[in-house]
Amino acid sequence: MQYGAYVLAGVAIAVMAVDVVLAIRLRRAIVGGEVGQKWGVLTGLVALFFVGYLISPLALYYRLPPEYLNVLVFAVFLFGAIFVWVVIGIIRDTLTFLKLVK
Amino acid sequence: MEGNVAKEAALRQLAEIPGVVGSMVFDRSGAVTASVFPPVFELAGLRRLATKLAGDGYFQEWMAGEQPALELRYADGHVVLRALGEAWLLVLCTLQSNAQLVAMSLTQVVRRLRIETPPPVARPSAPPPPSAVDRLRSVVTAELGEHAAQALEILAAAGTRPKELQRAAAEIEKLVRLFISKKKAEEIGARMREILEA
Repeated sequence: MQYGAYVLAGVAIAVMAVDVVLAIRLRRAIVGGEVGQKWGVLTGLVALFFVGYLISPLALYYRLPPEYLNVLVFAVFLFGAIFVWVVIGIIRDTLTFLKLVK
Repeated sequence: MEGNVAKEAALRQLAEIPGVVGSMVFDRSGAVTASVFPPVFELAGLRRLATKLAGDGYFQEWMAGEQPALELRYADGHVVLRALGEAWLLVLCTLQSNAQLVAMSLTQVVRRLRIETPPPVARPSAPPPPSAVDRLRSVVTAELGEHAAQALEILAAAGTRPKELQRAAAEIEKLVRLFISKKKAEEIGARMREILEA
């Protein structure tokens, strides 16, 4: 069971590493504006998640007390919610500009 | 000044014809550029007449033809008018004047006066002022530089009516605000509104 968690954490770290690279590349490609600002926030969140993903197998390995682990899990939930909020904002801006929303 | 002397010399030639009382040349602004009349005719009166004729639409229309001429016959005399390009010649004759002799002399004098009064020089037409669309395009290109392509496409797709241009300008402002810079969007929006309100 423990090994399964490590494998999942390893895959998550690999995928998130790719996400960090893609997010940074796209941030450089965006000139600026409101979408640029939001993408900056989103890149920061991706980087934060990446750090969290790196910590999670270590927390398991070093048997972090459950109270701290719970804080870590709920922090990931919070930042995940903020992440989704920012993504929705970017999509809404883009679709509004393209006149694809009512 | 030399031109006026030459004109007056030509008018004096007319004055020598029996029955010709006097003559004058006046331009489109109503200014008398040369006159040969007996002293009994006040220059102020002649100027008033010239101003009135030059400002009269019917007179101008009548005298705008290829060989424009006007002859006004009155109980105690007649007035002959000829066009000289940008000016007119007015000759006052008594009833005793010989119409044929006056006409012959006028042909000669008019030719002399036309040399002294050059035809209007066609001014090189100024290029038409740039349209609102052209001005918007130049603002967009100047403000956005390498990022102007999308904005120029929006302008190209818009029509030329004010409402269509206003809509296109609003879209460009939104494009810049979303994808380039808020500050730049405010600047370009203000400049485009200035053009459209002008």
